[in-house]
Amino acid sequence: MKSYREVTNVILSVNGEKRRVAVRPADTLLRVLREKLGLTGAKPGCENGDCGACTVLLDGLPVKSCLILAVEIVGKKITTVEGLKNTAIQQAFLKEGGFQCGYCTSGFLVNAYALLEKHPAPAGEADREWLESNLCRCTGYEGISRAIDTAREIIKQQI
Amino acid sequence: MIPFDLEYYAPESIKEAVVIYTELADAGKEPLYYAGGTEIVTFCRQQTIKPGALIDLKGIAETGLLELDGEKLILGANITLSCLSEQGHFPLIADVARSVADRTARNRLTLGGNICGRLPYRETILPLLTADAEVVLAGRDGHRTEPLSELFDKRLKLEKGEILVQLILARKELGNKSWVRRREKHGPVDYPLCHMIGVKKKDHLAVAVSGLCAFPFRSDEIEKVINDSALSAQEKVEKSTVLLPGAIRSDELGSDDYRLALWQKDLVEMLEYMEGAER
Repeated sequence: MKSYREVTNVILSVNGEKRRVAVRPADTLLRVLREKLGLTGAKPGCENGDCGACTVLLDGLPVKSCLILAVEIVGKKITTVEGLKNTAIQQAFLKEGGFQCGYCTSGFLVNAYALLEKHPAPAGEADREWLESNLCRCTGYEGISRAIDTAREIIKQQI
Repeated sequence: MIPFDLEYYAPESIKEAVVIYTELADAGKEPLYYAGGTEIVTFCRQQTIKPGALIDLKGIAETGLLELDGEKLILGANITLSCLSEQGHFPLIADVARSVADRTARNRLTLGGNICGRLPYRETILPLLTADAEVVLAGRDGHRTEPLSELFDKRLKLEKGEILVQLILARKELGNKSWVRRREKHGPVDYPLCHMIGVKKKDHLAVAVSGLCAFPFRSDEIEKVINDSALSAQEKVEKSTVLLPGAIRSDELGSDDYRLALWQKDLVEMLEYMEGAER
């Protein structure tokens, strides 16, 4: 049985790289990413699972890294916003101005990336349902919505 | 961050989980079983709970089953609410699961966590109550299977150290005519003011409710009233209101009067939908 009783060196797979890091069993994935691996894209917002600013992909599924223990993801694959460089959704956020203050952007971008993977074509209700997971205090939802439409166009042109 | 230390264990079998729970409990570490973790991590961060150890049940295969096996649907306690909302065997629980929290959170929230958690809503229990599900539990003395109705009274009555393994439903319960209404203050991603489901089971109308009282419930007394063909819809509502099993919640989301009005309105609409307009 796998167990962690104290600070332990573990190997985490993040953005395609194996990273060795010392973690407490009580460390959340968000804190380990930011404070021990230097990946500050995932943001601490509410740290309560409400805002989605800390969203990362766990084996391809969006999850809130503030509510996951780092020791839980040993052996699994994590993708943060830093792992989405030069993707269609990144280009589309830039093109459409899918951000205002930018604090929520990484969470929206990661979630939107996963949405496009699952629903490459406009998905109506599913789009709305997925994007409800993230909050934008600036209320810049129109730009984010346009960015997702544009990303779909970019992906279609790339195929 | 969680400002205190704890230990983490990931058993791969029920037996391992029960043994380590017993050892940790005997050592005074106040262990908690852990699955999706959303509620436990939040409460640990807020220090409203301080477990000395977490026992992660996600690696136990039988808790992850989602399988239509002959005449039974088996739902493992560690199925995520996203998986539950996407399965097609039991559309009613898919609808209910889809209404809990948000999509990203549902990728972690589990059926067992939703039922056994500390939050009072436990909405996925509603279709399980109306379907007369059975519950499979495991503890020091092995597995036992019991009717959910006998073990759920405001919350699931687990023995100390016992694990919720699976929920089992009869195939005949999966496609019954149903009605669902979930009321929230702000929008879909919110706790329910009143979440009611109605299910037509042959000639019997079953009803279960969350959000109205401090716990979810299905009430035999209320079902007797709403199935009494001698009563009008309005009489059913009035008599049912007196039979509510607890005080109506009143909080920042909605007053007791508001919740009661919503529930009464929805009950009338549900009766009209399920039975047609009554006298």
